[in-house]
Amino acid sequence: MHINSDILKACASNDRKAQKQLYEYCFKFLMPLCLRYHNNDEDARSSLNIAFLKIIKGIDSIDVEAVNFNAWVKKITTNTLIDEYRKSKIHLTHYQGKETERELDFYAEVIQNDAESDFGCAAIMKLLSQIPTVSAHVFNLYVIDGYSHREIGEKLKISEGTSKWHLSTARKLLREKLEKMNASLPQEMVI
Amino acid sequence: MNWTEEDIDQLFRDSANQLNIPFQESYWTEMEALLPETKTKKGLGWIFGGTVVCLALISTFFFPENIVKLENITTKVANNQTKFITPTNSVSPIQAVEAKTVEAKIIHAENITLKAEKSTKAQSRNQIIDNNILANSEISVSSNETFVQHENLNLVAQNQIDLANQIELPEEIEEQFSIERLPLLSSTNQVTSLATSNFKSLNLKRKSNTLFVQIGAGLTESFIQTSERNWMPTLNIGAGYQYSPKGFGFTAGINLNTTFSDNLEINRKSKVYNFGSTNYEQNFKYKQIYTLELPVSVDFRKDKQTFSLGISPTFIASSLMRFSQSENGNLSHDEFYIGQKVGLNHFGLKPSVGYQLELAKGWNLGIQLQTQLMKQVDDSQFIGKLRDNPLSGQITIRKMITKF
Repeated sequence: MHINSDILKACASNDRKAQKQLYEYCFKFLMPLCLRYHNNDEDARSSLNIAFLKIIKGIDSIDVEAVNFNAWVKKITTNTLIDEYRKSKIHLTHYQGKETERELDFYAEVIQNDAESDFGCAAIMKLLSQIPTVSAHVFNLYVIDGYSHREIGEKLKISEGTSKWHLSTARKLLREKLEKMNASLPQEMVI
Repeated sequence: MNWTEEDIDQLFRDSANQLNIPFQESYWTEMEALLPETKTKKGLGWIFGGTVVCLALISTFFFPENIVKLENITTKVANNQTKFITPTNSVSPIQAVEAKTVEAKIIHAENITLKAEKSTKAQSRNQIIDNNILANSEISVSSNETFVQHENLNLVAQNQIDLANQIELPEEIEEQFSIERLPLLSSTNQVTSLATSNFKSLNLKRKSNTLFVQIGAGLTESFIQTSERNWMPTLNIGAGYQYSPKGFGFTAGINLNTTFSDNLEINRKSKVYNFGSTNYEQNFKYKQIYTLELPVSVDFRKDKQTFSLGISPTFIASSLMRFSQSENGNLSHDEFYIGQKVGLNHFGLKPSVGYQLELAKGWNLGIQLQTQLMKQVDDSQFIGKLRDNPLSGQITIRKMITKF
């Protein structure tokens, strides 16, 4: 699917067809991004929708011919995800404790099922939801989205040092989980 | 396997890039509900409504009906008298002299007529006729009572009656223009009797009460907000009563409206406990919705055009719908039903603006724009976003069946 400036201009003038076309286009690469910051599809989609609203409202303010649209959209979505995280930070830390055990069971089951056939992308990405949220976010922002520790610190309202510590912790925890996954694979699969 | 930092980073980068989430239409439905409403459709409605109202105002204020009418009357008087004078000139010199007198009197009468334009229509019209009759009456007094003169007077009187027949009288004049004023018309018995008998036969009252039947077709905006289809076709048939004098009147009627829908679905889930439990999933997909409407409107008629502003209480009377039900995931019912109104709100209220044009005698073509003020779908039973004030537009053909 190709998005050109005509479609973007039509989106800005509230043309539903064009907006749907853009949504389908954005969904493909923004939904995986949102899923990295959320434990479930519904929350991820909710964040994606909020980000898409901002995109539609913001198209007017950019030069659609000059701006790298994909990068702009990705930046808006990442900012939205971080904003959402910051807003729900207190709620999450309070709530996470209750959910963790059940979720761990759920994801453990998923990982096992996926691992039987393959190191599935979804299963690997879901490992991120099994480590502390801040560490996962720092890992996402640094490793996958390419932000520096200074930028991450600004976004998450933490110091650069704390950001580095979270990255290190995330890597350590992920390594443990990957090794556990590896060990649970049937012998014939691990060659 | 020993996982280095680079291995872990690379594994997650690759997984993030390869992750593919399939898109579903329902995701867009959710998103669409959050987007601001499209302005164009509503805008079109307001533009159309505004145009109708503006046309009504322009036609009322920029075409001064009174002056045009009085000028027509004056012209008609002059033309009719000229027609009468011409043949008498060729008959006899006496008649020619009398004709000149008549002409002079007519000019005098026209002057009075022009002055009378400043007064009311009724006074003006009576002045014109009285002046002309007075002129003709003076002829009979100033000349010998010959057979020819009587004939002339009769013709004058006849001419006045023809004239009266040609003039379309506004309603407010009709009551004043009664038989009691007729003695002024003539000074001779012959003229009086002729004029009286002819005026008695005049039917100057316009019939303003009408019974009509009508059919119409149009489009209604979907009750729910969707991306694929926003308009539903409608058909209607109706009858009513219209009081339409010149100027303001009113209309009241009854319409049966059919709306063809293909996207209105209501789903229900329920769990019934017995020995074990059964999960029921019911789906109601509306195909046609039958609505009874009782429109009333205030009309403004000008010549062949009528502008109306009204309101129409509506009642969803019935529907044609496809009902499907599954029990524990197995389809148990899938059939069409008539008469179900599950998840629909029965009552509604539609303000309307309309325009009608008389195409031929007894046949009117109309266009009407309405908006539904009340929600037609019960939002407690519907998942999705309902449209706030769906617009509807329709074209109608109205046949006047009885006038009285």
